[in-house]
Amino acid sequence: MRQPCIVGVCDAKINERGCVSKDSSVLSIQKDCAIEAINESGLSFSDIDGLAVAGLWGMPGPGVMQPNVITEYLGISYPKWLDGTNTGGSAFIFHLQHAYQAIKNNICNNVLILYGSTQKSNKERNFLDRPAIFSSQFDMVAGLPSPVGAYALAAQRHMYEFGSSKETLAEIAVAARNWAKLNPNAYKKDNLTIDDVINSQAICSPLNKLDCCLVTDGGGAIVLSNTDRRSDFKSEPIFIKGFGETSSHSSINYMEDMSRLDVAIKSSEDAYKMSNLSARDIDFAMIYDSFTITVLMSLEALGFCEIGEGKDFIKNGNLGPNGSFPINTNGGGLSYCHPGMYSIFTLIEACRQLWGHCGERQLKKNLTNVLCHGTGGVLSSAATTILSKESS
Amino acid sequence: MFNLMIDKDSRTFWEGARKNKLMLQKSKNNGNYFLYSIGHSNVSANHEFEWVEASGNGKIYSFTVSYIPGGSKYFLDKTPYVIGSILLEEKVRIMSNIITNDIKIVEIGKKVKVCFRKLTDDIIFPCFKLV
Repeated sequence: MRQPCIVGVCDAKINERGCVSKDSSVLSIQKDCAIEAINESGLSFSDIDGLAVAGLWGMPGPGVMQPNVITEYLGISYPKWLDGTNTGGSAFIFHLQHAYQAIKNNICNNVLILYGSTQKSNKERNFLDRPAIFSSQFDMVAGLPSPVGAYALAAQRHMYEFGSSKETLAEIAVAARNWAKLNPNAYKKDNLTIDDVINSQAICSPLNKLDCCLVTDGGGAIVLSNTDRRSDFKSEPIFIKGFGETSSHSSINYMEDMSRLDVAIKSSEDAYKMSNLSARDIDFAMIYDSFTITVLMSLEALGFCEIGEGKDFIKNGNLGPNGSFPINTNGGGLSYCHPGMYSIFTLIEACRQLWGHCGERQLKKNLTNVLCHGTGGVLSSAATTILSKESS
Repeated sequence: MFNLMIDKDSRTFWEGARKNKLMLQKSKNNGNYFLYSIGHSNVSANHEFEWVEASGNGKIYSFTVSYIPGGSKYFLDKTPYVIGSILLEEKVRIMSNIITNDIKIVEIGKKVKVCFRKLTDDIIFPCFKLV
């Protein structure tokens, strides 16, 4: 039976300042990534008949209709399926599972998922004096920095409930940095200690600067196809064994319990059920690390440890290159890159690990099932997928 | 200073605040309270509701001391300041500021009481003080 699968990926090169090359634009980096990912797959550009895209570019203006912009710019001829779902940084894992369903149901055959951002080059990241609107109007009048203030409230509550500490969070940042040192395309590679994180600039207590993701440019592409085309593929196809997605709130004050990531509990329950797998069957995880606290709460919600026990689970470099539960081998949003919406990079790295393309940071153990998890907004939306060398 | 977009669902809250009243919405169907959105409040979208004045008593559900300005340029010269998610007696959480001379004594679970602060000529904001 026809199975959807991932057959090509690419991430944009960023320089030592965290920027893409000067002569590129937010559209041209997406074109470059698309070409490279399609070349890697063995398909040709004319095979693409489905497109998913999300980003923060071109708004207000044509960017509010990004699927139209990309269709035109790349010359994709009358795509049969389009997805512009934007749930925040988790969006690309939503796209992956929507594309899976579209391909499985013969709505289209080969899908391109695209992302690009030049937020650093263009100095776009300024959240002051945006309209105080909808439920966030109260947050903005209270002066809550977004998104970091929202994550800080969750971190404070998590510490209160479970006794996790600033050292707990710092361990997560250090593990990410130790992976980034092994990734030639990572932005931050200098040595980092727990004390460095705790002594970095205070932002919103209990979060310090080094608890926060980077601000960089970046881009990526993923090509999905189906097993009818198997003879064309240059690499072994990567299958999607299970997935789940959900959302809960827009403003952090409407999160039911700030110490527990319920959206990730729900999305991963669905992914495990669909794949007939449990957290114990996962060889390696890519977890969106917008902030250190995001990782701690995600690990607990995804079932890798009990709720509240993340502080013990992550100890002694357990998530790092010499640990027993490696995550985010590219260095994550904390140390590799964070162009604003990161989840596409969890999928790209997961595929590269499964293909054995990761060089110095390639995991030594046998990999079959890899879990990717994306968080969007302020712990608002969640998407979990389980990628595998085995077809379902 | 604040680019505040008051709308149908928040007008009564801001008008109430200008009269030093903390206003909440209350379902006429089951008596549960909410403010603006109904997510996780056990109120349904089709419930009838009324605006009522809250007691002004609550506890700190969570808080952060912000060392950077957020939301508005108003906060550029106000750092550090304390933002609190306050769980009111009515079981509604409200995002606000905790007004204190000593940020070190702010803790989750401590009791707070509403106080009203004039931020601009147009905006009075319900803030909270430790009891």
